[in-house]
Order: sequence, then C-alpha cells, then structure tokens
Amino acid sequence: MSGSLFPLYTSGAFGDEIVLFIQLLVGIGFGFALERSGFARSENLVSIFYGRDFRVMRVMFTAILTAMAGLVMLSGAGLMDMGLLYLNETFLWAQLVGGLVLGAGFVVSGYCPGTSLAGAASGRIDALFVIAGVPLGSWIYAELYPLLGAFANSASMGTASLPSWLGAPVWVVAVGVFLFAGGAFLAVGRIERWVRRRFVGTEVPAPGPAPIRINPLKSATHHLLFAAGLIGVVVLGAAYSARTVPADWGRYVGPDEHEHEGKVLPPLGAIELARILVEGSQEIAIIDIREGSKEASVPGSIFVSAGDLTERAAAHELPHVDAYVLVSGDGERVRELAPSLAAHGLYATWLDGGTRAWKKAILSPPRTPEGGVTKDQVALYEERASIHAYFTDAKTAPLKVKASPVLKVAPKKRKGGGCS
Amino acid sequence: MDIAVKEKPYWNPYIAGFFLGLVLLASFLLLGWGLGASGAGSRFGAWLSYLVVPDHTLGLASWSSYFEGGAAPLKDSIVFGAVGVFLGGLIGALTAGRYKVSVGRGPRISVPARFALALLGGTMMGFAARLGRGCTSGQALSGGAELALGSWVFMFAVFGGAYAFAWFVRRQWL
Repeated sequence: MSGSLFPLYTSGAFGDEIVLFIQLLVGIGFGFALERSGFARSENLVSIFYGRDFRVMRVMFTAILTAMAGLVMLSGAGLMDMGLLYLNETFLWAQLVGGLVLGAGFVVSGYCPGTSLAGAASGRIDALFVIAGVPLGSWIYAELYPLLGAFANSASMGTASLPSWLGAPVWVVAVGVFLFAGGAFLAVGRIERWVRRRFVGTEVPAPGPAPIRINPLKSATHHLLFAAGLIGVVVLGAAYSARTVPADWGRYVGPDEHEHEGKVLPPLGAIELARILVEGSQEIAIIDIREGSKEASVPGSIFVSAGDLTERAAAHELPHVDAYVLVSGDGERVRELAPSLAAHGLYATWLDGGTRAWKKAILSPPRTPEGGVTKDQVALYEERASIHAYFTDAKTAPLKVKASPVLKVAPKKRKGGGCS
Repeated sequence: MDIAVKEKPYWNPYIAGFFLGLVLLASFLLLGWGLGASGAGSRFGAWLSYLVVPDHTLGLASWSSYFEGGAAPLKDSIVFGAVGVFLGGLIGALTAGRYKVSVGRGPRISVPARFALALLGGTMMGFAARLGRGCTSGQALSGGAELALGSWVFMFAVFGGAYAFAWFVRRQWL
C-alpha cells in the first residue's frame, strides 16, 4: 500500500500548521457550496420535511456519490491509501438515537450545525441562536456523560463499513449506493409534483424556491456524470477489490464480539520492546503507571496512574494505537492491569520486569561475549550494543536490528478528524 | 448593509451537490478526513466553560481530551474549518446579492418564538452530535461517502427524526 500519493497530510507531506490553513480553505469551499445550494436559508432546508422541495436530499446524495466515486476510483488506481483515511467508527445505538435527536433538532431549529454557520454569514439572525445552541447542547452532554457514557459506547463495531458488514466488494456496494440514490432522485420528483398539486388553489403557500426545471441539455450533463461515475466505480472498484485486503475500507466487528475483541498479548521483554521502538513498525502507546519516580522510563511513555487507567480507556481517552504496553517499576502490578484494558476492547501487554529490566538490558552496555562463542551469540551482542547505543546516545556500534514481528495486532487506527 | 447586486439564482442542486462532493473529496485527499461542523461548537463550549470553571471543565470526560497535554481547544482543524464555512457562506451570499439581515420564519410565528425554537433546536443538535459522534457534515456526508456503517444508520435516523418531528413545528414554517 505504500507509495500511494493520497491522503497528503496523513502520509506526511506537510505539517500541522499547513493543515489549519488547508482546513480553512476546505471550509470556505464547503460554506460557498452550502450558500449556492440555498442552504443558508432555513426555509429551503426544512421544506424537504414537508414534501415540498427535496433539494437537501439531491445535493447531499449527489455530494456523497461524487466523493464516494472519487475514493473508489483513486484507491482503485492506486493513488489513494484507504488505510490512511480517518474512518468513522460505528457505535450503533448512540448513532441511531443521536441521529433521531439531531433530526428533530434540525426541523425545530431550521438548520443543521454546518448550515447554521452559512445562514448566519448571509445575515440570518435566527441562525445565530442555532450556533449558540450547539455548544450549549455539547455542554449538557459533557455534564451528563457519566450517566450516558455506557450507552454512548455500547454496540461499538470499530471502523465497520457497509462493504465489510455485508461482506461484499467495495465496488458492488458503491454501485448499490448509485442505484439507491438514482431511484431516490426519481421518486422525490414525483413526490414534489404530487404535493404541489395538492396545494394548488389553496391559501397555504408552498415554501422554498420554485420547482426545479432543468433544461434538457443540462439534464444530459447530469446523466452523463452519473453514468461516468457508475462506470468508473465498476472498473476501478473491481481493480481495487482484486488487489487489496478488504480491511482497508473499514473493518467490521460485530457488536457482541467487541467485548472479546481486546486481548492480553504475551508480555514483552525489554529487548523486544526496544526492537519495536527502533523499527517504529508498530503503533504502540507506552503507559507508565508509576506515580512517584519516573526514573529509567521508556522514551515516549505517557504517565497515567493505575487508578485512572481503566476509566480513561472506557472514555476512549487513551491515544488511538494498535497496542498498549504497560510499564511499572518491576512489571508485577501491570500484569494485573492488562486484562482490564483488554476488557475495554484494547490490545494490552506489559514490559516484563518493568523499568528495572529496561535499565539492566537497555540502559547498561551489554556484556562482551567471551571465548568460543557462536555466530548467533555475536549477532545478539551486536544487536544489543546497537540498541544500547540507540537509547543512550553512546554511539558505539552502527544500528543494525533484524525485523521480527513481535506483536500481532489489528489494522492501524488513525488520529481522529471529522466531527469528533 | 445590502449590496446592490441583483440576486442570482441558486445552483441546480445536482451541480451544487457535485461541487460539494468535490470539496469533500479534496478534504479526503489533502487531509485524510472529511468535513465537520458540530465539533467546533463543542470545542467553543469547552473553551468558554474553561474560562468560567477551569477545574470542573478538565474533569468532564467528554471535554478533557480537548485540553490534553496543554492543548488549546480552539487550535484545532475543525475550528478553522468552521471559520471557513462562515467565510465561504459570506462570500457566497455577497456575490449572489443574498446578504440580508433578516429572520427566517414562516408567516405564523413571532420573532421571539422563532429565536427560542432556534436555540432549542441548536441545543438538541449539540447534544445529539456528541452522542452520535458528528452531525450531518461529519457523519451523514463524510461518513456516508466513506461507506461507514454507523454513518448510514445516522443519516437515515436524521431523516426519520426530522420527519417524525416536522408535524409538531409546522406552525413555525408553513
């Protein structure tokens, strides 16, 4: 999968400051598109819920088709690494209830959070009240989280996607979405005509802009775009499906399996942990639970007390990585803590012998093998010397570490983006 | 501050959707994630709350991560994105001759009642977006294009909730 051009940021093309600037530009494009769609005005947004004008659905589904087709085609052409894209995680019940409440809030307020910004920008004073409500609601959620957290995190399915859930290739699902959206476009046109006929001659005005009349030439463009997207998705989607692991496009974890998904991995010796760190081959978090002295800590450790650890795991506040390595002074206390992390669906292991072993094996120079040693012993010595040099800046031997897969873990999870 | 530009028509919804989809795709390709909005509101709330009751705010599990490692909650890409949405909306409204200070409401509702419902609905959405891990932007649109299972559930639930509730607030709009 390496060698893909996109996504640029998560593959390391630029730094954090540039991201903020690009995000600003993307936001401007988003806001402009919302305004040109008519979504800065609440009457254009809510008229869908009274059957008058379905432009919300037309714009939204067309945008989804466009971006989806783009992802399928670019990943099919090998230009996009889906493994690096931030994929939304599924928490089934929270998203079902959250969606219902958000939908109700949408029709009550007349905007959704994104469109309220465009609404306020176009001079709508009521949109300012919607904007004020969003932080208020977030605050209520934060205060009630102790009561809601268990529900909010229930039925967690990881980065489950429609293809991984259905067990179907990405292109098949994408074609299904095209057909579903196309059917919906035809259906809502009929609904609009039917609703408008009912109001002819009555005093109830039909809100929203005039019915859409698309001239035949423009509508030919739509059909052409639709067909091109469909063909591109089939051809390049099939190419994508033929040569990549299905997990690249989300990984389905059943809701009941989740509790068992976490695992206590075999403990790591100091050398094994050092190898992982030197190679940088695994995304791990090293969690040091010592509360007093931080002496001889493993580089890159984060310090979380044993008391806070499970609470933070339950609240999804630990860094998103493949596996967690617990570290204590002697490696005893963490042996008991690892299963409680696994119970929260995480891969957990610990440093055998704790920082004491780390100090002895890594921070002190290895003993030189004496007469009559085998080739293997020499190789081991050289490796230990280079590891020692790496972690102490002793600069004795050139770094030479053999690749050895130590941890068998789930596919990589990425840093959050999107709405979270 | 009306600008003397004759109001331009809205874009054809399919063309507007295509353009919006290209913006979303650009976000995927450049940044590696999609669009978002409600997260900015949540971060703004956390920032305000921290000004008033700092210790209490850091103790709130769903907000404390915004401050992790001494981070400033507003120095996050989603906040810059939200500022961009406002600017983009402003540019769009000005160039189309649609910038107008007004209150959007149906003929049968008073201005104060409209403001109250706007605040109430916004609060419901702020709450729901934390529970559902996103709003129509981050879940329905971005997650929908990624074919994320939970995002599609969310999207249908949004339509379901809105249609179910539309009857109760019909006096606001019709």
